[in-house]
Amino acid sequence: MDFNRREALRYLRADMRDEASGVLVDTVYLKLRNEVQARHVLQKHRVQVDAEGVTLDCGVRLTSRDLARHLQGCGEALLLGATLGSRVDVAIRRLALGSVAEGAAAQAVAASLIESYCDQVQAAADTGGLAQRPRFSPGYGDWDLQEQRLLFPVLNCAKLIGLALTDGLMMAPSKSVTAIIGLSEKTECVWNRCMTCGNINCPYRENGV
Amino acid sequence: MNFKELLGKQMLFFDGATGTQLQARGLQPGELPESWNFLHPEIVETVHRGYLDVGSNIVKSNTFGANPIKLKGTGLDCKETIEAAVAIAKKACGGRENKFVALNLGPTGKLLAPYGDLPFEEAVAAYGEMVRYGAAAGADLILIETMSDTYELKAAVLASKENCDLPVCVTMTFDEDGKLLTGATVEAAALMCEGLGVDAVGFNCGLGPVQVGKLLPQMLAATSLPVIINPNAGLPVQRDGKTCFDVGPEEYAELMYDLARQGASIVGGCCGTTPQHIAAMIAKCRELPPGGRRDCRLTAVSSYGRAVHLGEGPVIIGERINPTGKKRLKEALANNDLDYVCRLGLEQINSGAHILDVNVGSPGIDEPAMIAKAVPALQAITDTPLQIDTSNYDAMEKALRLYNGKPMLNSVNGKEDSLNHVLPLAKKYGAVLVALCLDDGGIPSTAAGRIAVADKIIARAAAYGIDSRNIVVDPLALTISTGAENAAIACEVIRAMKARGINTVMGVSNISFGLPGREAVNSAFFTLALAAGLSCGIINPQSKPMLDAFYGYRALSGYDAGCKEYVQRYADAPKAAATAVSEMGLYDAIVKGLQGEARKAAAAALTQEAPLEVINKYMIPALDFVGNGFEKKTMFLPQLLMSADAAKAAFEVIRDAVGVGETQGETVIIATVHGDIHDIGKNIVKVLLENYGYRVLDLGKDVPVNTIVEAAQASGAKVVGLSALMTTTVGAMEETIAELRKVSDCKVVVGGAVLTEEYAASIGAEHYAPNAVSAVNYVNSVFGK
Repeated sequence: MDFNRREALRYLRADMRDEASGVLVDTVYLKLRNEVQARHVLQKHRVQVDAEGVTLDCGVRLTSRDLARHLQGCGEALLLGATLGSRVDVAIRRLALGSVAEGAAAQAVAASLIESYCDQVQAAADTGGLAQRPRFSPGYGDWDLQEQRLLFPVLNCAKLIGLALTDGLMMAPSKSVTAIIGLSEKTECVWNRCMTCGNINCPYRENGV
Repeated sequence: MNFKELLGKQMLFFDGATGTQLQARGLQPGELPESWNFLHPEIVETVHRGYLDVGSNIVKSNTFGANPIKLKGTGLDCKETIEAAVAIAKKACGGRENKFVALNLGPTGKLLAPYGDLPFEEAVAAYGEMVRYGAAAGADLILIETMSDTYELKAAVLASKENCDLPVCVTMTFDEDGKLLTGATVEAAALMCEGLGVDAVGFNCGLGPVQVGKLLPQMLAATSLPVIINPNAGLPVQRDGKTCFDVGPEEYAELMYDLARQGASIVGGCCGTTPQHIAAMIAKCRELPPGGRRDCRLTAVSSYGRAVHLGEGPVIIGERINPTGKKRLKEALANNDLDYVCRLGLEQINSGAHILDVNVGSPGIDEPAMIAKAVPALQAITDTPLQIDTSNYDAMEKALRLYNGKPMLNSVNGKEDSLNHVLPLAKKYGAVLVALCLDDGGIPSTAAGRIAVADKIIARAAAYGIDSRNIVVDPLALTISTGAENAAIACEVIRAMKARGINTVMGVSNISFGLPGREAVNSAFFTLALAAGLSCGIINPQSKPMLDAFYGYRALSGYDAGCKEYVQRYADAPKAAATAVSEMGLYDAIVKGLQGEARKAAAAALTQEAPLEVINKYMIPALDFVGNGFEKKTMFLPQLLMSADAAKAAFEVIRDAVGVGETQGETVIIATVHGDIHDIGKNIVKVLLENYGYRVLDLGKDVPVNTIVEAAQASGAKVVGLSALMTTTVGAMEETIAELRKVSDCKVVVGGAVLTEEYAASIGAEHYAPNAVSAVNYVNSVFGK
């Protein structure tokens, strides 16, 4: 999978021009890449969108106005679960033990890798010629994190890709993504993922386009 | 005949898919298959009958997801579900000969700690419940299936063994690369299963027969156990939003015949297989002789990730996690500083250790409690196998239980007390056992005497069912300073064991006890012992002479084909350390974030100034400079962290010189709150605080409220730092603060991605730290610094 160095540096909150930070993420990427055991599950669902949320064809109801806005006009959507696997978590701990800088860089590199992996999975998805909207995940906007509990059984994440949900609704392994991706004739505009999120104080927030 | 009697005598047949069959009869996506034990028992029975009628010997009860953890909140009760499911399956068997009900145990759906939040013993308890109900309801065997995590698998096997006498079969789900989801190889997983005493082991789900066929040779080579193959009807294919399996009955039968011929004892099917698949397969395979047990002579230990073979070339066991004579480690253990223990492990792995010895016994330390922390902590950072080293039986069992793999256990000896306590433990947990050549009469003074003790231990172990391939004999190196013949005796024992095919292990450096310049003798003795056939040397892998002996021997003895390893190691080795003196001052080295330079500069400064002066004159000002820069945004996070690493490296030099106590100031407690398993931010704060000289009690992540309260009370810490990353866990933070207020007047500083200043104030925290530097500045202000 592609390593997006720039994304890793952004997650690390590094100065893009700082050479030492660049060396740091490169070093850590080399230490991390053999630990990646990436897996995913991807499903296509028919969806019904109304003002308050989205209903999947299997009967599961997802409640979020922001999600509904995001999927407006879509008759179908992809449901995605993806993880880099628990060995990455082990490696991050290992690196952090020797160096906090490498530990933080490993978090950033792994975060960028799971995003690249999702991009790669989506690029290969059969959408029947429809365009894909950006990923939208529980916790984005007003979509309650609790609804992970609805997505996990539909995706059968635990059995198929070894991705579990903790009682505190964290994903384990930690470098994982669940998301819904609207499918429509064309994308109305170029969405930047951060611009659809209400958390305007987020330190990782990207500038709009 | 019962299942165990038939196993290996004739080819046995599992049923095929249950879920696929129930779906074909109307089970909806998302609906619990187990609910049909009550809603449609007759359909479940029909599915079982469909397989039994075409010749399956074993049906899996409809209990795959009937784990109490998984059933929570579904309205189904574990006991009732299992009783109903087993009764249905028994009814389907209808008392026919050679038809058996397997109590089906699937995964819990949770990830076990430390990767997830399910504690190991909770998993054991949950499976134990299932096993008790299933055995009481009349199941004939236990099938633990679709396992993708060795730790969860171990919990299920222990629960089965501890709650019933039924035979236990295990099938795991590997990917096409032959790895479990948690990374274990086929070999590592099979070794663990055999060690735990299961009756048969194999594959199910995930892959089709073609892909399983590629992994089967690895399984056959790794274990003597009868092998089970229950694949899917090919790899899953998505069609019109549905998962399909494309291998038809006749093709399936052909493919399974090929696999069965290679040495399987039980074959069946998983997702996508139907009674037609199973009928065709049975018709093809019925007359095949079963593979049965094979005589596997492999000696190996494993972690959750990989196996290390003994007896196929010498192995290094790192000896440094042992507090005997090590002040720093003793202090670390007394302070519960497991990070230090883990760092000792990592240093040894980076230097070439294949296995890590773990000994945490020290006066004043609760050894069982400590080893129960050390083993999981090490497992959380490495897949290097561990050698559990203790003479405390309680500690031994705790560590063996929590170990995720096939452990090495150091040790048993010829004394009655040791034999009676250790052998049952080694058997139960499947350890490779180190046998010390001493008994109630002491250490025999001749090689023949020690060989006799080894023979006695091997015989006694055999009586417990422990194969001699799982015994590794330690001849015991006594110092040559009190007996010139001691080296020769040890080598003679090694040669004698080698001649019988028994592996050996030895703590090499004991040979020079009491002598000056010990490394010269140690490394020469290591070479002698290796030449005599020593399988494992317990050594300090950071000793250059010892590693030189090791790699030199491997090159000389032909273990290192073409001297590849040797050349790789020595061709580009630096001639000599260019200079041990830093060109740079300590202040600059820390500001620039250069670990190596900081280490050298600290050593140089210590020759001129007192430790506290070095800290206050150079280190603290450098940390202040970087911290200010970070706050003013003239420096970025990576720079802050690299300087923290450099300061930490300098601190280590100072502590190695003067001890921890001298350099430690006020106590600060930090923890990631209950329910939260993200701790990167907390760990950064920890390192920064330690660099400022604080004694940091790091309670870890997912810490229960009362643990934090108790630690605050016991330590009298003036400051407690709490971190929470998620909206779902800040509630636990609020609760922790409320409880702390009842017993302590400590100040509370909080941080974490979702917190804000207003929120922090509303839950009663004294300070909100948007970043690590802010947390440290606040702590400094509390202590008037």
